[in-house]
Amino acid sequence: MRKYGIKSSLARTLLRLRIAFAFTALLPLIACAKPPIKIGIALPLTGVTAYRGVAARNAIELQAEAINASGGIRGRKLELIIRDDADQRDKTMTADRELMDLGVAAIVGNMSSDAAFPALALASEHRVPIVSPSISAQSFSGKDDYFFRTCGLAAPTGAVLGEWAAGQGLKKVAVALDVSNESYSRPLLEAFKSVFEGEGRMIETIVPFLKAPSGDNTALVDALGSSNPDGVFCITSEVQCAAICQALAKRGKKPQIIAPMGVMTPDLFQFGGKTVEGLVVSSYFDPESREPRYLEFKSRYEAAYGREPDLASCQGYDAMTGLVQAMLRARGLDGPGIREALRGLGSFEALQDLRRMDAFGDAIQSQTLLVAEEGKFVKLGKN
Amino acid sequence: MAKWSFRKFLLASVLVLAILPVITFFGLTTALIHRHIIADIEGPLGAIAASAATEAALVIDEPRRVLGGLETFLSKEPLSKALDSYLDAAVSSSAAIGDLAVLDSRGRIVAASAANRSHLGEDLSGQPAFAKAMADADADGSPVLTSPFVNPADGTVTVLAFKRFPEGALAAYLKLDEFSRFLVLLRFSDADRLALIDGIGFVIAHTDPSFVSEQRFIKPPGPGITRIDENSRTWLATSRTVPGHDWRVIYYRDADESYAISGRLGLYLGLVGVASLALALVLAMLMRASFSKPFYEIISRMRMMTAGRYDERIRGNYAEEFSRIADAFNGMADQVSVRESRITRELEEKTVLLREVHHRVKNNLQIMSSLLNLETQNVRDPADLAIMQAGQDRIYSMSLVHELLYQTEDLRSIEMSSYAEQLTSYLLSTRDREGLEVATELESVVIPLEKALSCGLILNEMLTNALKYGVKGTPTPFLGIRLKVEEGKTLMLEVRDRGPGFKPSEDPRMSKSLGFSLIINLAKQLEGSVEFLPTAPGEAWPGLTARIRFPCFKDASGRPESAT
Repeated sequence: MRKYGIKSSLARTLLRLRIAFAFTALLPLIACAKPPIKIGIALPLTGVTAYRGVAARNAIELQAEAINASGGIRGRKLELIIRDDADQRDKTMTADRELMDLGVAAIVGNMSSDAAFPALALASEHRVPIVSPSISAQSFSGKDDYFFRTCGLAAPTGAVLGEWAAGQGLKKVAVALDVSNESYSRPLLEAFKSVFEGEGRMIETIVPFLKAPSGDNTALVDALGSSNPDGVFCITSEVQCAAICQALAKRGKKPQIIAPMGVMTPDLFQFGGKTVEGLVVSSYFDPESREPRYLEFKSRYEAAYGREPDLASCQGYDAMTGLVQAMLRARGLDGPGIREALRGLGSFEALQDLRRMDAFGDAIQSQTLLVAEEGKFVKLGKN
Repeated sequence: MAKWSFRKFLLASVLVLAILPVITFFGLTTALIHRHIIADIEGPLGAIAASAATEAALVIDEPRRVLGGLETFLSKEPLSKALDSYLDAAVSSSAAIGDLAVLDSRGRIVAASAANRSHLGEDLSGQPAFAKAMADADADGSPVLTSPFVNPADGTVTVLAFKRFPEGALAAYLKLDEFSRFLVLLRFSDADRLALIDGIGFVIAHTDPSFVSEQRFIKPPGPGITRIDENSRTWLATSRTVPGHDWRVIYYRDADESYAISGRLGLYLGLVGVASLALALVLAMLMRASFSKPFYEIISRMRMMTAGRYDERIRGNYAEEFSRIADAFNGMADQVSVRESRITRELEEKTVLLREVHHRVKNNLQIMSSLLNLETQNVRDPADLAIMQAGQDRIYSMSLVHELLYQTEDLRSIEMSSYAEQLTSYLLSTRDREGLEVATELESVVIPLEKALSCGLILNEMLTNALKYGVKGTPTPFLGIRLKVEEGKTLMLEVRDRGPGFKPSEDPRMSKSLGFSLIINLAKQLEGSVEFLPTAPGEAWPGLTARIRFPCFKDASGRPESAT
């Protein structure tokens, strides 16, 4: 029975105070209930090939920012842990291992085939999926492992370029072959050669070289120009390609330059100037795409970084999109769970197309022939 | 709506008065400290940022200085070796320029410092900054800058500054690492950061070299102090624009370090707050003991007194005002207790006296009855004997009322069914009742004294009449008595017999019998009604049913009228 309400009322007041204090103390715990999902980003951020890595990183950061702003994935924010793999084998291994040791759920990155090859075993050992934006070597195909890629193979682009070169009436083509990334460059050359050669057309010279920081390309260009070719296929970095174009121009030579899509960076024009005008590439990236997803991304990218997105930034964005789509479908947000989701992904909405991925994590894309004109790439035959 | 509680008001007042100033003090102090911290950062750190920005402007303007001496050599055709020497000397004498190249109006390199001389003849027109510089009509304007990029020659990140002159442009590779080292020297603490970013946000120089080498991007902060969250750190940043350019120098200070003093003070204030809360609770308890408890003590004792416990007193050592109230209350309780005792005693005395009166009345009436009984021994005439008997019965019926009355607690009413049973037993005991069937149907009903006497006399007359005329000599001697409360407020008393009854032409009301007269007149006094009906109409022995009804209760609750 209530007795004048003194004790019971005081007890209620104290109880309310205790509940309030307890709730206040629990607030931080509630807020911290869901830890962020750690995503490793391993990209070439330093050195002469850094442009692609920097562009991809910028796009990935932009995407992660948008995902986190909209609440994250399953209520968990994304935490990007970024490391520089410098497009080198040892640094790639170091960067990937460090990210795996930090407990990342997956890694987006490793843009160069030869540098990334040893990391395949590391990914399987640690059971951490690697989603590469740009590795296009045939040697990575058909493996049921922890490696996935969201770009098409390089070899088909070589075949398309060979077909185009033959159609243009080129007879003798010299090839500058960067053997520092041979698992990528060799199949590309073979595909080009298989289509191009015949009926008086031939690969006149193949000049293999190792990627070198030196700006002296005299010997390389001498070797390329020795047979006076009417076409040069630069299976090189964009900087090297620009240097070759500059050197050929200085010698007064103006052969048709053909290159893989990897050269599609602003650095090509900055270092090549007008000497790269007329260069032709076969690309999975269309700078003139009117796809709404791409236009929306382009608008955001330009607002953030003051420049147009390019192949590398789109590749980085697409790789992250593939991973995010897999995470949304995964049973568990750990390495094996994400891997299973990536294997069963089938397709996802990339920036410029509906990207298809097979069960081995290899993407399939269509190509466009582009030509360098006035400091940018446009569709071939447009003008 | 809940009643307003003085006790709760007191508790709330104490808590609010104790805590509110602490919270206000805490809030204001924290705000002031934060303001001080912001001012502390905005002032000196802003000055350093401004100094770095000025230095950056000088670095950017280095090509203009170089250009001042260049024109002498450019005027000579062909370009002499002296120009190369001048460019080499300009590079070696400048801390800001790594390499130099002279471009013609089409963007081709026509002269270069030593490291770039292998690129003579190459085309740099693809550099957007070159085109912009060439479009710049202002010969005295600041150099036009590229975004940071990796120099293919050495793999380091650099920025090209183009300065136009009439025949072309001078391109200078700026030494960003030198400027980064300069930023390191400027910072107050090793935990601080300084960054130089371009107009978009790309890092040009930074105290952490990886920001430059990895071409990191920093969102340009707004004016004043901006809070910037990184993965695991929070910075407070202030920035200054490089004069004449859109580049910015940003000074970062670790927010945790900046707010450390605020955190310590917050801890102290928190402790003070907890102490204040504890003090407030103690005060609240004291208030309860000093104010609330006496109130409730008084209320409690009042309730006890209301319940008749006049011996309860307020005890306890209270504040002066409450002690006075307690004393006054206790004094009042003493007086009430004394009066209550006296009234109780007097009431008991009067009750005893009244009981004694009723007892004596009963005794006296019984003495009278006994005297009459003695007198009947000398009466031989049956008519006289009957009169004597009737008088004796009437006296008994009255004495029975007083007998039952003094046996009750309240001395004001009697239980009528008990009365009817005892009166019937008495009357039957004084008569021959051979073969008589007696049927009683009596509801328990209590009626007040003033009605009980009249009602008793009426019942006596009804029974006496029935036993006299309706039983003796009848083929089926029968006596029925019924006492019933009708509709909760009317008492119905009925006596039935199966005697000869009245002839249809006879009206009992016109009878000169004393008994009937008593019944009719007493019923009038009771404001009731009387009925005389045949018990079994149409039969050879119709009998008589005498029935009275009189109001005895005020309402349907069944309470006696006099009890209200």
